[in-house]
Amino acid sequence: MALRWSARGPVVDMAAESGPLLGMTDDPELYREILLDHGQHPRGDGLLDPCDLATEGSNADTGDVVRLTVRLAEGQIAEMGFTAEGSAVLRASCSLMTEALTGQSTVEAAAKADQFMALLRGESDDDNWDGLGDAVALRGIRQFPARVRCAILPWRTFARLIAQ
Amino acid sequence: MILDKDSLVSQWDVAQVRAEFPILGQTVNGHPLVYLDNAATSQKPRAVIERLDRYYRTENANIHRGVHALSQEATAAYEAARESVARFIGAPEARSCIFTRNATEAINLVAATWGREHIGAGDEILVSEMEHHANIVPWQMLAEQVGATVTVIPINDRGELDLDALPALLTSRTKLLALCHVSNSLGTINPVEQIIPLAKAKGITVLIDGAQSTAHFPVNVATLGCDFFVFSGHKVCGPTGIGVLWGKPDLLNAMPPYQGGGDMIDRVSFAGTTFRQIPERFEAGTPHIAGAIGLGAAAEYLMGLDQQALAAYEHELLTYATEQLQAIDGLQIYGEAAHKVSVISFTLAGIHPNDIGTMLDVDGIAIRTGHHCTMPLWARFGLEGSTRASFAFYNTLAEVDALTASLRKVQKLLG
Ligand SMILES: Cc1ncc(COP(=O)(O)O)c(C=O)c1O
Repeated sequence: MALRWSARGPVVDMAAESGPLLGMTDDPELYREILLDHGQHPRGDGLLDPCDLATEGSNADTGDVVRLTVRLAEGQIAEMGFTAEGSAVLRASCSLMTEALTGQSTVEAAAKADQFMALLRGESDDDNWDGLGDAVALRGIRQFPARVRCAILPWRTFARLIAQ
Repeated sequence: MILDKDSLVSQWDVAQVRAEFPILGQTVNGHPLVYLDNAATSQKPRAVIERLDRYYRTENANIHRGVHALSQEATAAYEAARESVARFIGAPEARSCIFTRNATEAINLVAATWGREHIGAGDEILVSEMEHHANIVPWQMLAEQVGATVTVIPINDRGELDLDALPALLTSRTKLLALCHVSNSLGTINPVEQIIPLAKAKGITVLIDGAQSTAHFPVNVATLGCDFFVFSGHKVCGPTGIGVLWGKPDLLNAMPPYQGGGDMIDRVSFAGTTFRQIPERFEAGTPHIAGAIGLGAAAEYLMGLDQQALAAYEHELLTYATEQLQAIDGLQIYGEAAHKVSVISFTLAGIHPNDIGTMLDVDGIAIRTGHHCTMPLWARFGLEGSTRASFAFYNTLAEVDALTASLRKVQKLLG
């Protein structure tokens, strides 16, 4: 099965039919692609200095720690940078979030973070991933309740930062 | 007849043992369940499941209270369970076995009662670097309240206690030594037979955390010579929600009560209340009757097994798993004590334990990842945690192979 990362439609289909972690464990190719792409070469890796907003979030039970920095320009998120101590799921989620939220207004971005968290927590009725870009690849995480917290951590951290 | 190791191992009929554990026949994520998280909690044999079932079907009543037949029956079963538990840990008197919720509550009980009375400002509570949080945090809380300090026996790179450092740590201010019998993260068996007399010679009270040892080999609190011994039912094939505090009877009876309420009192009046002796003294309110009875059944089940063959078999599992895991490139085992139980903690270069855990789960393999409630231990090794495979007497060599095959797969994908 060919993987086309940027094309939203095919990704949705594959994520739905393939195995679980990051949408795919039983499809090694897909798993590999995503983890290599975002987990090992994350977008937004490294903290921004100077930055306009900075925060930290952690999960005591998984040991995950995320540090987030944001640069703003005219009410929009111009750039995001993070460091993640934790699993490949966490790193990939950070990276996918950076991609999905950069260029958005803070209000839009916060709404997207809420949308993502509701989707992963299974609180969303319509399973609508529109506007979240490649982050849809993380939908498979829902089959691993223990890992949902890892995937959500960057988004939760971001949402809290904006709310402040 | 003296049996050599191989013939002992061959005496262990693992297929027959597995047949006693209904859950082991399951498939998980389309694969046969490979349960290697025994240090977290053990699976339950038919004997325990059926005992709980029988209790609720035919014996359920409150204990120590009723004159009616069922209450008598439930009381008898509850107290018979105490007798089984006493034999299980070699306690000379059943009344010195207090039922608690778990090992954690047993430790907290000692801290809140004996600790509050005997530990004061400037005193020292000695623990080890490999303790479970359950045997650290209650002592830190107590130390905070009374102005004592918690001191720590260091470990070496193999994950053994540094016995050379011990004598200097047993000071005139040391009031308590609280030490695990076996480390849940490393598998290390601590030489408590050697350590306890050193502490006792200095008049130090000793609490042994037997949460892990009781799952692997018979213990005898009388010969150990400790003052307190704690363990959890759920790790020794018993139900959750039930644990045991054993203490020397005189020590227990001299301690102030833990919780107040029904069953633990002698007489109550608004002018003043008097308390009962052990065990009721520390069992306020309706206890986990079914849990205690289930734990009694678990203790009987374990005592009925061939201990020598079991030990030889688990050692075989440990040796084989260690060899197979060490053969994986980039895999590092933590905990290489000369004496250890079948628990193996490891890291796999460049791969986070939580990713390993999730991918193994996809193959039906249950292992534990993270700090295993021993954060100071992992800090000692400069780690956040590990991946831990812990084996019980019902695991098989084929399950070790499944583990290593799955780990190689993870490594190919993520390494
Ligand atoms: C060594 C040790 N001590 C104490 C405990 C606490 O046991 P419980 O959670 O059943 O109270 C555990 C359980 O993980 C343990 O392994």
